[in-house]
Amino acid sequence: MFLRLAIRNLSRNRRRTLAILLTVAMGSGSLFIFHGFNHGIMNQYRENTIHSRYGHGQLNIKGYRDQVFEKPWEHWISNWSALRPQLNAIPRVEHVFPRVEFFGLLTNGRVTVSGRGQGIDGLEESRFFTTLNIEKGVTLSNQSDGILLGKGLAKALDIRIGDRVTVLGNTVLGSLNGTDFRVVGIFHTGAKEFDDAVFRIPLTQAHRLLDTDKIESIAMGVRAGTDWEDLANEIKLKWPDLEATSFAVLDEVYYQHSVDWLNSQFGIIQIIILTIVILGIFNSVSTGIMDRKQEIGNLRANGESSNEVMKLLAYEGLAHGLIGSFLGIFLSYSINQIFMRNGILMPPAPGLTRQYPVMIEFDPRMAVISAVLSTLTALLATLIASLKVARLPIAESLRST
Amino acid sequence: MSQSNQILYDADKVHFQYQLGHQRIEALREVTFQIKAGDLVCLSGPSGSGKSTLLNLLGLIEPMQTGNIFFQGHSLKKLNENQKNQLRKFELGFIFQHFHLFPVLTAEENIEYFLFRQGLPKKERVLRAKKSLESVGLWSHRHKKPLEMSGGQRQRIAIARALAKHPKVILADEPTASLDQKTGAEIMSLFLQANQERGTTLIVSSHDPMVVNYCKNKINLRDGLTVVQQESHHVSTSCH
Repeated sequence: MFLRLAIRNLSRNRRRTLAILLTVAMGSGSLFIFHGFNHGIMNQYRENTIHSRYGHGQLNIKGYRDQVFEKPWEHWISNWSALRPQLNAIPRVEHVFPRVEFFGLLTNGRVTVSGRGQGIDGLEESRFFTTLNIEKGVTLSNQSDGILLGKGLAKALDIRIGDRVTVLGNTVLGSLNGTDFRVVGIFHTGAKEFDDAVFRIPLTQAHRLLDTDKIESIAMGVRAGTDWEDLANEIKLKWPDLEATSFAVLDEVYYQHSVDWLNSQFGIIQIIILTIVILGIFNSVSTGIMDRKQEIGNLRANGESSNEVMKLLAYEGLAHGLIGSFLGIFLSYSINQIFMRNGILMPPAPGLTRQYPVMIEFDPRMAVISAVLSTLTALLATLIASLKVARLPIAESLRST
Repeated sequence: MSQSNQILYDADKVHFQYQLGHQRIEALREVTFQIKAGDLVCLSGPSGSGKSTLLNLLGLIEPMQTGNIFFQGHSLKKLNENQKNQLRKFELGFIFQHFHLFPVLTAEENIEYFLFRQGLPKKERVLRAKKSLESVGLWSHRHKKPLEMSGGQRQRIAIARALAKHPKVILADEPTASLDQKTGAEIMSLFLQANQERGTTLIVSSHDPMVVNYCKNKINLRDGLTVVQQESHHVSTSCH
C-alpha cells in the first residue's frame, strides 16, 4: 500500500515526473557512456601496447630491470634452448618471444644515426605483434638479412624499402662488429619516442653481431582471461632466478599512468555529473513537495511521524531513481548501437602521432554501478528536498496553500 | 446511541498565541471547558475567534503553550512525539474543509490507507472500508478517484475515512464550508448518525448556524474567549 501510493504519486504531475526521470536518465546514461568511452580507450591502448611492443609481459633474470649494469649481457638468460620447451608446456602460455636489445649505429653510407636495436624471432613475432603498423614494405618474418625500421629512424636515414643499411655495434667482448641488412619494412606504433629509435633485426643476426647466444628477455603471449599474477607466481615457483613482469609495469609511463589518470578524471566527472543530478532532482522534487504540504500535514495529523513521511517520499525518490537510471542506460546503449557503431575518431593522444577511433565498450558491471549511483543520488536529492516539509509543524503544513 | 458521562477532554485555562512577524496574536485566552465521551459538540464563533486553533490543540496538531488539556485523564502536554503519533493514528480522526484525500488513490484505497498504517490485516481493512463507504452511501463509487467526484462526495469519503479508523473522537474543521447548504446538511446528518449509532465523539468547528443547530453541545468562542458552553435539547435529525 505504501509502495502503491509512492508509485501512483509519480503520475500526479506527469511533466514534473518526466523532468525528474530525464535528469536521472541523463546522469546514469552519461556515467555509463563516459565509462564505456574510457573503457574503450584503455582497452584499445592495452591491445596496442601488448600487440605492438611488449606482449602480455616478459621474463628477465631476477632484478635485471631494476639495475644498470656495465656489462648487461652477463645478466642475460643463458639456457634459452632448454627453457623454451618448458615455457611452451605451460598451458596458459601461447607464445614465447626471445629478445635481445642493444644500442647500435645505423649507416647507409651517407648518414649515420644511433638507434635501439631489437633482435627478435621475426616469424613467431609476426603472428602476434599485429598492431605494429607497417607503413611501407612488410613486417620482419623469415628474411635472414631483413631489418625493420621505425618511421622516424627511416626518415632520418632517408631510406626506402630494399635499401641496404649497415648496423654497427659492440660485441660482448668489446670489439666493434658490423652486419649489412636490407630494409624490408617501416613501422609506426604511434609512440614517437619508440618510432624514432627502434629497429628490429633477426635474433640470429643480433646474436652474431653481439657475439653471444644469450637472451635478454622473453616476451610472452598468454591465453585470453589469464591472470598475469597467477602466471608470474607459477614461473617464480618453477624458476626462482627469473622474474615475470606484466606489460602494465613495463609500459608504466604510458599505460599504467594513463589508466590511473583516466580513472581519476572519471572520478571527478562522476562527482560533477552526480552533483548536477542532485541539483536537478532537488529543484523538481522541492517544487513537487511544496505543492503537497497540505497532504503531508494530513498524513502527520493521522499519526505518521516525520520519519514515516520521509520514508514515503524516499520510496518515490527510489522509484524515480530506478526508472530513470534504467531509462538512461537503455538510451545510452541504444544511441551507441545506432549512431556510434564505428567509434569516435580521436585526435592523437599525448606521446602518440596518429588519430585513432575509440569504440565505446560497455561493461555490464558499470551498468549496475551507474544505476545504483544514480538511484542513490535521486534518493538523496529527494530526502534533502523532503526534510524541511516533513518536519514542518502539522498546523503550518495544513494551513499552507 | 451509546453515551457515557466519562470526560473525554478537559481543557483548563488554555492560552495560545501566534507570532506574526514582530506581533503576537492571542488566539485563545484562558479557555476552559469539558467534553464528554459520545458528545456531538460544536465549536462556534465568528472567523478569527479561535475555533480552528482550539480544534488543532484538541487534535494535537498545534503544540500546547500555557494551560493544559487532558484527554481521557492524560495531560496532552506530557506526551512525547511518539505517543502523540499513536494517539493521532488510533484515537483521533480528522475531517478538513478541503478534504485532503489522496488524488492518486481510489475512494476505497483512500480509506484503506490509514487502516493499513494502523497495521490492520487486509481482510479487516476491506471490511471496514466497505462498511464505512456504505454508511456514507458511496460504495458504488469505491473505484473512483477524488477528482472524479463532487465536493460533497469527496467530503463523504473523508468522513468514511475518519469513521473507518474507529477513532474515539472525530475532529471536523469547517467540514461544510466548501459545500452548498443541502450537501452540508447531508454531511451533518452523517455526523449525527455516526454519533448516535457508533457513539463516536464529534467535535465540529463551524460558524454556520445550520451546523450549530445539529450539535447537542456548543462552545461559543469570541476573540479567543469561551463565551458560553451550553447544552442544547433541540437536536435536529433532519438534513432538510
